[in-house]
Amino acid sequence: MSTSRVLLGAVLSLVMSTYGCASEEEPVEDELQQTEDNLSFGYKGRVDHAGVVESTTMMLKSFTELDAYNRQDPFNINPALHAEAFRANFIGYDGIDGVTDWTPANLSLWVTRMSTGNYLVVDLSKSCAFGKPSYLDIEREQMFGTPHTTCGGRTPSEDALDVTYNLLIRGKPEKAADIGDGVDELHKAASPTFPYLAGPN
Amino acid sequence: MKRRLLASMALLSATLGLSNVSEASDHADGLKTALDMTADISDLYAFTSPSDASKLVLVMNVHMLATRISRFSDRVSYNFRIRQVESVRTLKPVPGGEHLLACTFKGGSIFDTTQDATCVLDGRDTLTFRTNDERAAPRSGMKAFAGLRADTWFLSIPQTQKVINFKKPEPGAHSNSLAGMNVLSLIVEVDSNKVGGSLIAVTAETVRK
Repeated sequence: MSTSRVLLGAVLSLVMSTYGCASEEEPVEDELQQTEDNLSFGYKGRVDHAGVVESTTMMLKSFTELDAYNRQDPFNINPALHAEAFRANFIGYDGIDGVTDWTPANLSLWVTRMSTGNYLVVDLSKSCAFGKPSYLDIEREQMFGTPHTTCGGRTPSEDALDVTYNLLIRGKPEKAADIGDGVDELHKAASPTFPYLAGPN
Repeated sequence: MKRRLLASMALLSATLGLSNVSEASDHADGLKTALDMTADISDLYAFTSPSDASKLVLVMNVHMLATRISRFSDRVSYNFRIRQVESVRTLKPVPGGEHLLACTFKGGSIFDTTQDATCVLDGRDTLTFRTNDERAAPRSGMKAFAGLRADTWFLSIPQTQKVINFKKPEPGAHSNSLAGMNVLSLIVEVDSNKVGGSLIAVTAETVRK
């Protein structure tokens, strides 16, 4: 892709951040729809998927692989495309504290998990303690045999990044006092009642 | 405003290949999503309702630089997909019997961002509602909200950059790099018994039509 085309896209992306998307009702909207078409370069199909926190931005992180990863079916990702990048990064993160924490079995487990799918696991038979630790609780059972006590999944307000840091650096998906990014709560707290997320800033 | 400008600059850097994309959850994770922000998922949440455990709550955030005049794309299908999980031992989603909750939007303008939204579960149960309405009536076992919300992701980007570069984060409190940012949120409550057994796998995807 030429630099000029990337520059054009970047500028247009800022236009989009201001004006949002398209509609068919007014001339100005048609122009915006055209802008959106330009930004997507006429692409049709899957643009993005989400499940595990930082699956792409930290765990895969290879810029050349991100779009290809995002285009794939999040329940059926081709492991041949990304397994080596995930493995290399997991090993790199494990070495941050100078200790090899990941067992070969758990390393293989997570390389397989992330290179074949991107999803959250939820136990509907258990209540979720809103804002309390539950993220990757079921995966913790899979890795260490400790029965999960929450619904797993992910609730707003939970510090999923610290859980991710500890998964990557210590091989354990849990929040710990001494490994984290130093930000432990939302700027605007989420609510345990519908619609859960705080209003805009 | 300053944070938005900084985030915009970070996004520009990312799109120009000057940095290693955003370090935030799933925000702007790639050139395509950094440009196509109405289809860029920043976060997925899935949990049972604190007030009614028989309800599954699904939340998809998109558009990390959303403003009060941002809207969902009318050319994107915002999908939640749910599969049963084989067992706790494998955590493998079972291919058969997948449930699809597909939401689409139309209408709205920069002068009135209100859009008509439609969410369809498995091609049968349909919920229609207007965006930015926290009291939209439930229907077909579903209740939904869609509109501008405060970004629910919180992190220190400098500390996360350290970790990404395989360095230990600095101890102590740091500031939330995303404080003051907004996203477009799609929030749907659905009867759990409509999406299967006890252990499920949930993913979110955006598909450009």
